[in-house]
Amino acid sequence: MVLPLFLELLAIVALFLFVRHRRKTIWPIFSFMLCAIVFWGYYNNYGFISVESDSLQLLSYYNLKSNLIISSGVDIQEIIKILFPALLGLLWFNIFSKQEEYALTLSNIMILAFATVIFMVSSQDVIQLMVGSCCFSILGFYLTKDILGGNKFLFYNFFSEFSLFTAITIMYSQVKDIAVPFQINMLEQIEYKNLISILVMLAVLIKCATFLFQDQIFELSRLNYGRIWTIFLLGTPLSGLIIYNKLYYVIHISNFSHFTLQLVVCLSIIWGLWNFLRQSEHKIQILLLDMMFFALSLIVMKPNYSSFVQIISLITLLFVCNWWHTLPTMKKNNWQIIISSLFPLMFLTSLQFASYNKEKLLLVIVYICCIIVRLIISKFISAEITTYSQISITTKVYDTLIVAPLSLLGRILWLAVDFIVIERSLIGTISSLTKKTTGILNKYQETRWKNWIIFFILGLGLILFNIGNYIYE
Amino acid sequence: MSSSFALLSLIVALPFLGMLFVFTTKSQKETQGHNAFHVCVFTIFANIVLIWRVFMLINEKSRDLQLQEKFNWLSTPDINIVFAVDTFSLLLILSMHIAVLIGLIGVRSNIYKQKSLMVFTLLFLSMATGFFVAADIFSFYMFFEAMLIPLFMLIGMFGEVKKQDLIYRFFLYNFIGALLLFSATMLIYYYYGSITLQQVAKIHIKSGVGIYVWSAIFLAFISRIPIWPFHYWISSINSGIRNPLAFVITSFMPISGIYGFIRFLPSNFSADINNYIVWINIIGAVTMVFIALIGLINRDAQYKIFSYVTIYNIMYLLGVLTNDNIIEHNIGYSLFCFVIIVASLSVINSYIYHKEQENDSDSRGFLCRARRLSLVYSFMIIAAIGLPVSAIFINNFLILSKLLGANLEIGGLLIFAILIVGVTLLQELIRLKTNDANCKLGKNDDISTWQFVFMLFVIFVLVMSFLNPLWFVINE
Amino acid sequence: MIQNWLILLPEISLMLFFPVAMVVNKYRERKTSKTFFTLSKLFLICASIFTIVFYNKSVWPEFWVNNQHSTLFKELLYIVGLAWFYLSSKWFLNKNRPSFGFYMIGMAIILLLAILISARNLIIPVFFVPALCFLTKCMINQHWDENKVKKVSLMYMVFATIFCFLLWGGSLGIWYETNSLSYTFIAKYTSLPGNKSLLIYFSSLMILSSLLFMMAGAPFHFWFIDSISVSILPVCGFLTLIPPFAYLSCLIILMNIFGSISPDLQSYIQSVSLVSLVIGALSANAQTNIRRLFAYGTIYNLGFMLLGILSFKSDAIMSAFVYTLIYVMAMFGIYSVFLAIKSKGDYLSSIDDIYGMSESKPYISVAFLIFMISLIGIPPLLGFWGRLSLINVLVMEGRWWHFFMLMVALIFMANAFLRIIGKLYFETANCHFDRTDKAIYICLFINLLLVLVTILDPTYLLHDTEIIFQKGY
Repeated sequence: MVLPLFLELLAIVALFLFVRHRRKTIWPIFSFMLCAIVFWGYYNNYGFISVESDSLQLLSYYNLKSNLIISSGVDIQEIIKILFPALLGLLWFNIFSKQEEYALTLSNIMILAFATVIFMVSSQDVIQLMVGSCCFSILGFYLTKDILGGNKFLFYNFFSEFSLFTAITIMYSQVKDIAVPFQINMLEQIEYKNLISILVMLAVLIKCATFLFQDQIFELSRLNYGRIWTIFLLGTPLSGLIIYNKLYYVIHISNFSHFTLQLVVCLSIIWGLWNFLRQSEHKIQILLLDMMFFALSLIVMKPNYSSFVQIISLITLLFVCNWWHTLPTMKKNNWQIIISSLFPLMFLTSLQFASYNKEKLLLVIVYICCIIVRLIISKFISAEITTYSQISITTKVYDTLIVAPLSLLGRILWLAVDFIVIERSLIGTISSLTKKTTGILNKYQETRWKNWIIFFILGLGLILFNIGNYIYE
Repeated sequence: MSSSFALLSLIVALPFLGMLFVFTTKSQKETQGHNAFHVCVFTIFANIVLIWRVFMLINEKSRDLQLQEKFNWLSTPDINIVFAVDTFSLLLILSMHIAVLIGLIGVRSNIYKQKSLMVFTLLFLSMATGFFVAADIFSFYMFFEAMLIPLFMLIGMFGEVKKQDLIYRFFLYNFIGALLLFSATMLIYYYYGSITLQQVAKIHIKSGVGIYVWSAIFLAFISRIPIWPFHYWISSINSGIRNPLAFVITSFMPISGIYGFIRFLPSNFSADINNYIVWINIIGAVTMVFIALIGLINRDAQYKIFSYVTIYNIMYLLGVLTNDNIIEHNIGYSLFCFVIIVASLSVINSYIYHKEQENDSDSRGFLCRARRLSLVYSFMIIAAIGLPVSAIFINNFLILSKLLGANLEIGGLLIFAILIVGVTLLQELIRLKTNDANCKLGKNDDISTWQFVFMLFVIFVLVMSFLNPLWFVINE
Repeated sequence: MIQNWLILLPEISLMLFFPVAMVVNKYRERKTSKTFFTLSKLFLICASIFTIVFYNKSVWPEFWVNNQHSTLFKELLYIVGLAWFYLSSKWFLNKNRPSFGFYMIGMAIILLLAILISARNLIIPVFFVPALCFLTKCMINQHWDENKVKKVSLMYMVFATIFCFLLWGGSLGIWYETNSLSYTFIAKYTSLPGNKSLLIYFSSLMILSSLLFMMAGAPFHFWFIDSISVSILPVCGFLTLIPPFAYLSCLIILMNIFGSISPDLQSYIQSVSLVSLVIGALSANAQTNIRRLFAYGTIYNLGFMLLGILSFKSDAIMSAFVYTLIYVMAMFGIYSVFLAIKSKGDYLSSIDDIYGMSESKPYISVAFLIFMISLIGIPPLLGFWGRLSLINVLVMEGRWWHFFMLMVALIFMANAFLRIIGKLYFETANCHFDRTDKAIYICLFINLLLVLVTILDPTYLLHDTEIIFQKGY
């Protein structure tokens, strides 16, 4: 049932790719209705597209046994049932909040992001995992490209993809296997365990925007809420968690990885809390809270599906909490707030209550406590951080320690190697030698008696030389 | 396998005939070169159809050269013109044609010597096609050298290279390489007669002469690849070329070197050769890092593309030198997309550059007022840096895993260089997409509908190649 | 008796030209270059036909012999002569200059060269070579402003006299040693083991030197370069295109008759060829006069050819012949182009004058480009075949150092030609070019057609020639 759903979602996106008058509200409404119908069909085990099997035979490389598989396991079905209502809520908010000029485009991105979640969670080999991860990065890029700090998001995720790619490549060069999860006994035999572990961990930490890599997230405060929630609910941090879940054993093959992970998570939470309590801007508060949650998930999550499903449901709850948290700050008229937010929020909240458990309760309590503490402390702290630029030091560190030395090295190499070694020495020598020789020859070939005689004597010299040789022999 | 109809000869001859037709089109002042342009485009399209047909006739899994055609040319010395193909060479030919077609889009509105541009483009295409279908040593050498003149003319007339001396030196360096290959060819002919390329890998010549032969072959091909110290004149020329079609054509030169290595690499490496391969790997990796860093600091977009081209060419070279037959297929698939992406990037870059000149403004934020171009450019950059939207992704994965498996340190340098060049390209993308005061200029600098449709088709080709590199092959 | 006269018809036809031309010159009022060309055409065609008819008939076999080899070379001499006379007439017509002297001297030189080709006795060169030198001097003097050529003409005469004395001295030495000047007798004499005396060797060197002087082999090339620089265009073309076949034939015959000492003579020829290569290739760079540049190209090509023919085996001779043929075809094209380049009625000779010529004369420029590329030897043009034939000889004989020298010289020569191509195509025009005569276009077209046909199937045209050379001299 999952594959038909996946294809239906792609079909919905394709249907609305080339419509005219993209600003009209009618198109995202149609898109929403189609999604709702598809979800209803899925819930009732009814697919609008019939398929023979669960696997897509799209990839065809004879020296790489990779296939794109959309799993129909119980766990993936659970994830869909949890996330789909949230998707519908997001779509609704996008339509009626009027925050986007091209609401249809954002709707399409949201649907694609959801399809990518299905795609990535279903992956049974690293190729599919990397493809899914890259799709998230690309979608994130489209969500952030219009803002000033969007470049940071792009660069961070690019580094993350590259880090993951490098780790997988090193592993593949040894094990020649791409199936996930990797066998533990296979992992124990590989070389460069630490390197691979660090690289995969780096990819995950960047995606989840933990401490040292949090810069990318905070530029998102310039985005509208619809985009922010798309990124957090169906975006790169989620892809980080999926990678962590699939490659859990790869990360933990190193003896130091567990400690490192715990250290980073702790620092993320400490740093997040510290800035959250001093932060007055509402969007950044939400971002900090989400960042802390994702960081904590890395410690809490176990390498099995049920743990992952649990995390997903908590993410959905977090999203609902964020939304409630945002309501008081929306600068719209009451009627718009009611339509765009209150109706869907109540629907989603009721769904959350329906699948209540103690972890969810804990999350809600912690969330509310943080807000209350923040409100209390804000009365006492006078110097508040209102813009993110004041709290970012990591960018300066990267610029000073990495970018500047690389640029300097590039300049030195260009001057020394290209200019001095090649141009001045090698080419200059040959060129001047040729010019001198040609000049001398031309001088002695002008129309003068002297020159003709010189050549004649040279010719005579040749004759005599040959005679001499003949006599000698 | 031999062909009853001389399809391969036709593929080589068709651009040449097209060139003659272009030569006889109406004079430029009356038609502004449109006739010449249309004839050129039609010729290339026709040739693409023929190449597609050839794909259906060959066995794509076989490594042997197929559909052999042999023509007696000279009796003294005994030289025949022999053509044959395999999947690798056909892919390169097809990608070259598509890339030239993309380059033609970039020069559609060019009125400066349009006819000459078309003539030399078709001539180059004919010679380069001949190079890729050549199946014996003399045919190979002849087309290897024959490519140089149209290339020289294109760079000289349309490259807008500031120092003319650079063009002459560029030609001479390539010419020296060709002469080295000639000397090696003559020596092989002396010992073995006129042999096919498949037999070259198995020859064994006595020590002194053998060393010279293989050294000459090595130098001939490596001088076309921008690896230190041969990178200098290639970079001097390539980084300054503003005409997109000329840039596209010039970027085939390193590929001809890589292809030469594939055809001439001995089947078994002795221990001595392995030592040299290690040094080449080191020099290659260091060159990659070096060029990548220069591309990072250089503000010229043209140089950034050049550094990207260089990095990948060296990577492919190092992949070829692993002497793994399976990886060669991956290199072929990756090269197919790589060539098309490079052509697209250079055309778009040139378009932006000319608009910059026209509007007399900085190109920062240009893409925010050209939505179609923005979509195409973004896709091409994403594909270029190796994200999974084209065959480059999986094939590079396999090539790099092979290289990393051979030597982690060198592989690490490779990956570092690829990372830097990826950052370089992304920098450029962001610079063009940054919301800026220029966005509000109110001008529509976007590409036309038909150009957009064509680029969408190119994107479609790239995406399909990611799923199946030979998706367009319909077996009979 | 009548049969003998019939056999002499080729020579008679040529000789008949002189009185007829003198009568026409004296009594005809309207006499243009066309008139004299028509006359020369008539007699050349007759001579050509009779040469073929009596290809293997000889009147005085002790002095000169007609055979397949001589017929071949003579035919080529007549064809090239005819073609060049045709184009030269255009030059004379341009400013209506007198052409009687040019055609008279030209026909006389052709007659003497034809006899020289068939010569089988040293007495003929003894008399004919000085005559040739004198006629060459007169040819150089064919200039509307004698002051421009006076110096060169005088210098040429002095040195030509010296070489004539060398020739006489050599012939005297041969006669002293062998008591005969017959080639057959000399060949038999020198083939006997005990007859390799120093005098024979010295004499042969002197004879060879005079021949190399006539061929303009370096270091005896000085007269050729300066003559080309100052002479009128028809004379330049004549000196470049007409003699090569004749002198090649003479060289082959001479080396055949010197039998056992020819290996010793080869070292002398080798020196000359290497010096020609170096001087020709290097001096061609940095020339500002285009004709002088191509004159150095001629020296270079001569060196190339001499290096290839060094062993004087049938393969080497065949290759040298092919090379010379291709060279003459290319140079013919080059000189046709020279005839097309004029501005305000004056024929241009400076490289600076042809800047950007491709803009106003695209077809002429393309032809120029093709011929220059052919001279460099880049495939798939005809020049490549010439280069390949000669180099194949070097390879088969194991002369690797010669091969290496050739390649190095080729690079310098290519550089010189590239600069011209660059001036034609990469610069903007700085002068206006006059309209080109249709005849030039026709000649260029025929030349290019020949080049194309020969590229496609070389053996078709030269199959019979191969058989002739394989039979040996």
